[in-house]
Amino acid sequence: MDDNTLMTHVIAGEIDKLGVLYEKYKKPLYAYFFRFTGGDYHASEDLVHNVFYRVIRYKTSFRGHGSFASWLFRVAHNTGIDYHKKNRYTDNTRVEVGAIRAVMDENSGPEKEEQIATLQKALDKLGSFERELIILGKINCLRYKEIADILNITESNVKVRIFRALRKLKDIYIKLENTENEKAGSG
Amino acid sequence: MKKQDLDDRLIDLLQGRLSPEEEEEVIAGLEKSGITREEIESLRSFSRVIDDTPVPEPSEWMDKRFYALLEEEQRKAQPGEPDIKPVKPLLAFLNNPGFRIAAGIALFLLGWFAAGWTGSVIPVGNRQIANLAGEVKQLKETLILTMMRESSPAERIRAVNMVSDFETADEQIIEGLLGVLRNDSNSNLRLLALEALIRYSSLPEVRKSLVSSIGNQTSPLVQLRLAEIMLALGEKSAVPEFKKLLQDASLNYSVRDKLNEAVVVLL
Repeated sequence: MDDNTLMTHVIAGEIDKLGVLYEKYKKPLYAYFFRFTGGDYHASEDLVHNVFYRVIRYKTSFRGHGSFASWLFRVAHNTGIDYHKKNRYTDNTRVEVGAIRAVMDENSGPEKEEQIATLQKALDKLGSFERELIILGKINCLRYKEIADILNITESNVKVRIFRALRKLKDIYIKLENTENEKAGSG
Repeated sequence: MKKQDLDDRLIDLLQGRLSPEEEEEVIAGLEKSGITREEIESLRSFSRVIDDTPVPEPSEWMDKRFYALLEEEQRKAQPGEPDIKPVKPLLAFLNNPGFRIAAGIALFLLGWFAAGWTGSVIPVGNRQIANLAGEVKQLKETLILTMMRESSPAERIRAVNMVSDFETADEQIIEGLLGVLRNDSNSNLRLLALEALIRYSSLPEVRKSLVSSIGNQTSPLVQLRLAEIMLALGEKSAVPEFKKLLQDASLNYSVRDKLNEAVVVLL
């Protein structure tokens, strides 16, 4: 059964079918919020919960015109906006080392740990729109059509903007890496 | 190569999804706009860094919360099922204001029936039944208003949901719902209150309050819903409030579209 059919059953009152959709999307949604909140895993879990709460509450607003993934990530996008409005004065550039360690396998070394932390810091320095493009396109691996639906821009525009955002992110990443290396060299 | 074709293939180039001929064409196009081969190679390596970054996994706690929510929704969808609550520490329920008021209702009913059995009241007539129903409704309203002031969002959600049990709600309940819509820190609750208020939108005071609450809302979902409701009601007085919101440069673009639509339709 595809996602849209499952959601049709949920709307018709078979609420338990939402469990199947939850299992499929909980990790991509969590990864989305994890990157979006600067690695705050508690907030990310709360935000995923809020998304599914809203899915239940506003299930009838899913008309089935586009894909369920686009609709779900649009709900996530709005939930993220609310979160950032509430937390706009807090420093979200922190990267929780515990969270990074939790996502690494036993064989990963400190280099990988640094790489993840630097990537997260670089993402935090991007504008929120560019950050979201990278997260949706590169980390969540959504289709460009879906990203276009979520962000209300054309598919071609998504590709160009992801490309530009990647260039910007790469420059930030290299600068951060150089700064870290200089610090390590002088220490 | 046309600009459109070039734009469409940028990511495919980084992901190595192009044939050697196509790749050369895209690289030549990029070089014309000042992006060197070295930079493209460096972007490809960086793209692989992102691809290799492990994706975090949520904890089991998140699953437990979701399935508790699902269970609650399933329970609500089955009227007549017993209201099974999670076990709490012994006597902890005594501190719950909801319990205290519910106990009040139970004691009141017990006293009323006891009095009836011992013959100390006049045989039950329609007026008395109506009085009793009124008393119970009043107690339930007090319970809802108390729960709306609880610090726990879960209690406040329960309170707002309980309003749907009433055929008609009194001024205090409506005022309570409007208070949640205007001031609650939780956007889910504000949405919930808004949904509950739709039933009373035929009342001019409620409409007026819904319109005046537009300016207080920061959640795109609440703003969208308010626009939909105002459109459905054909409420022209909402237009100035929508126009004020549209002046906010940071307004969510989906909300902006909806508000523009509402302004055009309502004017």
